[in-house]
Amino acid sequence: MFEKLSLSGYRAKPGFDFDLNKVSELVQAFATYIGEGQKVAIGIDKKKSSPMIKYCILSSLIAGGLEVYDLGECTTAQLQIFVSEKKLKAGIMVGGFSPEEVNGIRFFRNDGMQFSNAEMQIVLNIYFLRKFVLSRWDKLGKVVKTNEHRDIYLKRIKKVIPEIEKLRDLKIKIGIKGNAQTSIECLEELLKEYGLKINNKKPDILVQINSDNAIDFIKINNKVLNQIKIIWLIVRTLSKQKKIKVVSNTGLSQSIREIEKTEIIETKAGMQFIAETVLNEMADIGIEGCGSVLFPEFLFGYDAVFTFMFLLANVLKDIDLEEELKQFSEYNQIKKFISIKPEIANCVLNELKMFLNKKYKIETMDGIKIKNKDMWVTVRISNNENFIKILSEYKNEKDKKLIDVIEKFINKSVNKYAN
Amino acid sequence: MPISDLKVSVSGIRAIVGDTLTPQLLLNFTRAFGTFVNSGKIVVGRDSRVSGEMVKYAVFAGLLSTGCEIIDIGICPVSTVHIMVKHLKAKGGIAITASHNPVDWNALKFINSEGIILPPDEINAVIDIYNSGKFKTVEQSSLKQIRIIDNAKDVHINLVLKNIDKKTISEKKFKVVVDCVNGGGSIIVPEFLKNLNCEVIALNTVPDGIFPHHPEPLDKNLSQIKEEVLKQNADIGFAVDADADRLGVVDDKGNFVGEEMTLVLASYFALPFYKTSLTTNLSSTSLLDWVAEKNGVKVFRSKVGEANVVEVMKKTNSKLAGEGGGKVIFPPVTVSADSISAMGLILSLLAKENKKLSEIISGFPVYHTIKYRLEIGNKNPYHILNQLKNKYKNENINLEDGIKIIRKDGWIHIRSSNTEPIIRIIVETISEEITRNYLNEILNNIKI
Repeated sequence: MFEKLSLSGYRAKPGFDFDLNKVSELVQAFATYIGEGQKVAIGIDKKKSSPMIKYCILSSLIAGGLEVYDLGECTTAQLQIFVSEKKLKAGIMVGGFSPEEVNGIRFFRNDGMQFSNAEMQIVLNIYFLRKFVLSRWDKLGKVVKTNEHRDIYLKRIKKVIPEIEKLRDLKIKIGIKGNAQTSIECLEELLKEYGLKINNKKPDILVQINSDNAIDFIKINNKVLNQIKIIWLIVRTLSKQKKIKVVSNTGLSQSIREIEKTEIIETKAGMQFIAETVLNEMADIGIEGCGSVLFPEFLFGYDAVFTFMFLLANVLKDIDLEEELKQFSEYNQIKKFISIKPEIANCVLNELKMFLNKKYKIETMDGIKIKNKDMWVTVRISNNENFIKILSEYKNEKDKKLIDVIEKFINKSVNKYAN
Repeated sequence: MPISDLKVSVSGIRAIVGDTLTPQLLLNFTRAFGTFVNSGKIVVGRDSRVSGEMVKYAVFAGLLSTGCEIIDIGICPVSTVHIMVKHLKAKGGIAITASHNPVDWNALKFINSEGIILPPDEINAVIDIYNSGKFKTVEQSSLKQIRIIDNAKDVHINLVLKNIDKKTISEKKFKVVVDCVNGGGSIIVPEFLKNLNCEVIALNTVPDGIFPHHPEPLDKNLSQIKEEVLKQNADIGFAVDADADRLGVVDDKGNFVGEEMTLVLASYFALPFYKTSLTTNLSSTSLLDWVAEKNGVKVFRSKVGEANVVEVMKKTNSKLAGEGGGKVIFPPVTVSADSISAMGLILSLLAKENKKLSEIISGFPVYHTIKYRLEIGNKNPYHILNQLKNKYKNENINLEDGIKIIRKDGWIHIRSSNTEPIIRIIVETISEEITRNYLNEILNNIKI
């Protein structure tokens, strides 16, 4: 069971539970919401199913009277920047989901941010009520193919990271791995432009980018920087210059909270919540534990290419990494994903809340969070997948017991509903 | 939305853009077709309608989802899709066209691996799959791609040239005016005629789907070409519809010869030349019987609709077939109505007879025909037809397709349209007065 239609958009597994008709109607609802005569953009990732989904979407957009800029293969960030720079009404991205066999669509608004819950709720209302507006033959939309987005995107990176020019003096080889092919090609192009060599066999710095367009890890001199350490380095670098506001979801690592001159503002997990909070709070940066970083000056979304270029130009080329990492506090981490049917997820979470409420002080901004001095645990329903996620950090093994208790309770509750 | 605006028939599915022709309908019908053919190579072409792009993308999505590989041949006549299915040994084809219907309509025509419009049993199987909602889906790794090819026009032209006497026609250096109604024939028609050494005066050949007049090649829609034939002192004028399956002919005097005459003229040349029988539908003119009799061959008649004509044509092995309304099917080229073939045959006739078209036609018997469209809205056409069947049960009637009343001085054919929410009444007799009287008689006997 991969299918999920939610406030985040639609995702499912082609050839298994992906419903093209549902996508066609959802996009018809989107087109109805956007309105006849407006301009939007569409981009796809390199997944084999993405062109098929795009054609389905194009038909609905044209039927709804929209003029569509077809960017072809691009990154989500390129689409977002194109939409905002060209002052389009909205954008649709096909792909960018993991695992590889899953695909889906997400909607973006005119400032490049993902649709808010409120906007998405309107689209879903139109979808469920089938109140679609179809244009007459002479008011139908059309498709305009373009690859202008690549230049617009590169131009913005160069503008936001002026230090990038200094990379020309670096004589290092960069290796790039991962399954985010479009991002990888884009990064390669950018690095070559600054005279850096791409060498995947013997790189000085190796970066791996995943299909969620986040950095999995960076390897330098046999030292591996995982997602937490990467974010830690970025936040630390920024906070050296001034006190900064950091927006994060509730699962932020304690090691980052310990960085001086940072004000942490928590919000719900998900790009749209992080972006909205960064905008409202005028924060300096938005982060999520999965390696996603939002630089508002660049984009109200995540982009691994920008993140890596920022690190390379501002951090990696200047610091003594070994010395720097001595400041990093290590915590044990746990990430557990429990499969759950969407229709019972909230019931299970509520039961857990009642159970834990008897013994613990619970925070409920996004699911359930319990924290004490040396540990924290969050339990929440995934926005994109049919999972309940348990995330935790702890220092002592005795604190792990609570996580085991939570996991057992959830499994028992899931089984109860299944029967 | 009135369901009568959605027509599902042997001709495919046909509906109004912005109303019943939704992306979802197109997507799911295409998925049904992809399921029916069980994946494989599918040729897709379209006429120039503005809505063609919207339809095309839904078709692409539907076909890809069922594991089909798509060969996109772009804007072309519907017959080019039929030809390319055979040429490329494809599993089938989809032509996106509402043919002669107004600009706000569009449609899907489904073609099987033989390059033939799906016969009734096959299209019914597709409709059953559509209604069941059980479509084939393939895993991401098995999804195929779209291949664009741009030589379909050349394949089509060469095939027609191979099957007519190019040399004899070329020697005549005919002056021809063409009206392509900015449709799917806009590029191929002038090019074909230039291949026959014709001097071509081309009207409305920008395939942008903005039709300068109603696309059906009927007298009332052809004032521009009629004037131009006279002005240019041309030998003939050819007008095609949006997907160039129908051909209307204007003679050297600037007169439209009548939509029934296209097949008659093609038969006048082809029946003796190819020594073949003729297959046509029950509504086509009796002039065809006259041509056949003159040549000692038979006329076989089917229900109206290209799929029905083709089915009978296959059984009778006719080398020429067609329908009134300007449809000529010339099987050596394609088993679908093809205005390019029709032009080739009619120019062959002019070359062979070495006479002006008006002179040739002046030797034909004269029949008087009225084609009447009775708008019935949401009324059940079969209820109306049953009333008439009862009324005329004691006359010489044929009930194969609606009701055809055959009398000594002519005939009356009343049937439900395959493509529009109307009842068609066709009357043909030996005099204008009798024709008018028969029509009035039928209209008086219909109670809506």
